[in-house]
Amino acid sequence: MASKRALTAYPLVSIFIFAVLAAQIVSGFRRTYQWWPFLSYPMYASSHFDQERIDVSYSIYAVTPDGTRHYLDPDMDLGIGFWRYGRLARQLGVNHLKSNAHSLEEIRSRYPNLLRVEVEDYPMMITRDGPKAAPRLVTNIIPRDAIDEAVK
Amino acid sequence: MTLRGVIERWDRYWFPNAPLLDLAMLRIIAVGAQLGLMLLDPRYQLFRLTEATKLLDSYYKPLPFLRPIVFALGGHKITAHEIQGLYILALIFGFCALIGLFSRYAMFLFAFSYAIIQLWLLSFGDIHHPEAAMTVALIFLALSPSGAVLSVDAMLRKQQSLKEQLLATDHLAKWPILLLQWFFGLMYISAFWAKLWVGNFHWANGFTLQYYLAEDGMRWHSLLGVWMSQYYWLSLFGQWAVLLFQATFFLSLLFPRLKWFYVPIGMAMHIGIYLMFKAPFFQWVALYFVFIPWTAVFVFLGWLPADQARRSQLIRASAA
Repeated sequence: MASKRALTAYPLVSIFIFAVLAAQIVSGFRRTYQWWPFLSYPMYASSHFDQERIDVSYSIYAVTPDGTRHYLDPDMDLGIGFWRYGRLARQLGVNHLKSNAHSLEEIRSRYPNLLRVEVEDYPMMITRDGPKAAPRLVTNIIPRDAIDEAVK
Repeated sequence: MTLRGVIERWDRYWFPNAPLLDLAMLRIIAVGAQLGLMLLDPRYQLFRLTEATKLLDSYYKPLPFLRPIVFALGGHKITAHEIQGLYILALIFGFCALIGLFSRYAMFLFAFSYAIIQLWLLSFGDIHHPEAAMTVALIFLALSPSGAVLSVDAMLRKQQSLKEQLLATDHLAKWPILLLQWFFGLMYISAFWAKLWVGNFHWANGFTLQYYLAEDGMRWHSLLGVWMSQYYWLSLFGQWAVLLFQATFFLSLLFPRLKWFYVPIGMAMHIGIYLMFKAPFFQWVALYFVFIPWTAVFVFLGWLPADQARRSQLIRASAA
């Protein structure tokens, strides 16, 4: 026989249980992280195929007038860490410049005379027999005037 | 079935008379694991909290569950020093919760402060998954009688002998365990759905797992991952096995006997993911112990003194 305390708690705890289950069910099918700790779990969910390039890591470079390519380190130069750096590189790779204006401004202030920013990915590809070397790929070249326009 | 019947079934499922020992074990494992991570894992240590504040202000967007706190503070932007202060308090609360001293308050304050720290950190845009399950687990424990036994509080009360405490049951002792188990089930369903939907129904093609094994293996220097990425058929089998596991794990919650099959596989999968991908889901591994019916195990091993009738009653209640 449940105690009086337990019986009083049942309705409140039941509402809580129901709310937690509902929140996780709804969040689990939506790709939003806003309602953390109720999340979807799309880790490793994208499909990949034979001969596809592997994003082992991205690199972002600032190219100055003397032709030197200055590697921009996630922590030392941009102070944003590995995962944000990867996201930044992917977004710059598809010319999402406005939404990354603050990072471009940081790069421009570090290299005031830069000519362009280059985004590069790691040269590997997947095959049925495992990863194989692939030629270097510059995924995007962002000219100086596009950087200035985004930062403006 | 009438509404009354539904409510009775609901109450029977979530509020059976269950051993408090199982809940206390979950408290000790969850709080102990989280304290261990905060003290020993560089990703959760005090100095990491200052790193977030070195980011530009534009990264800081308080998550919805943090906004009421920010609002209550009059829109104050929480600083790294304040969060570091909270972190130290969280360690103290956590230690009290671990040993069960003022456990109701300590557990609540530990869960609350840990959730605030995580929400603040994640408001800088870098969302991670392992901390979410731990946060909800701590909240469940905070709202339940998790410190009723195996605690300093229980020792100080002296109303029951140690034997009576270890054999004690309560109608509010099972729901946090069941809810956390369901949380795992729902996380797996979400992961399964994402693989179908995000993967455009081409996910289980062998190459996908080879790709991730190679990617993370090289990125995080996992020799096992890189080695595994060379074997297409092994990857193909692994992918179908993962899909099947994630899609059907919830059955073990409806039919508890299936836990004997699913839980060891799940534990092996999460440890394997760490070894192959170096993806540190330590919180999940720790919380997986929620599936172990501790009281039943202790009774089976003869560590809990009880007569035959009580033994089978405890085993049934613990393993349900």
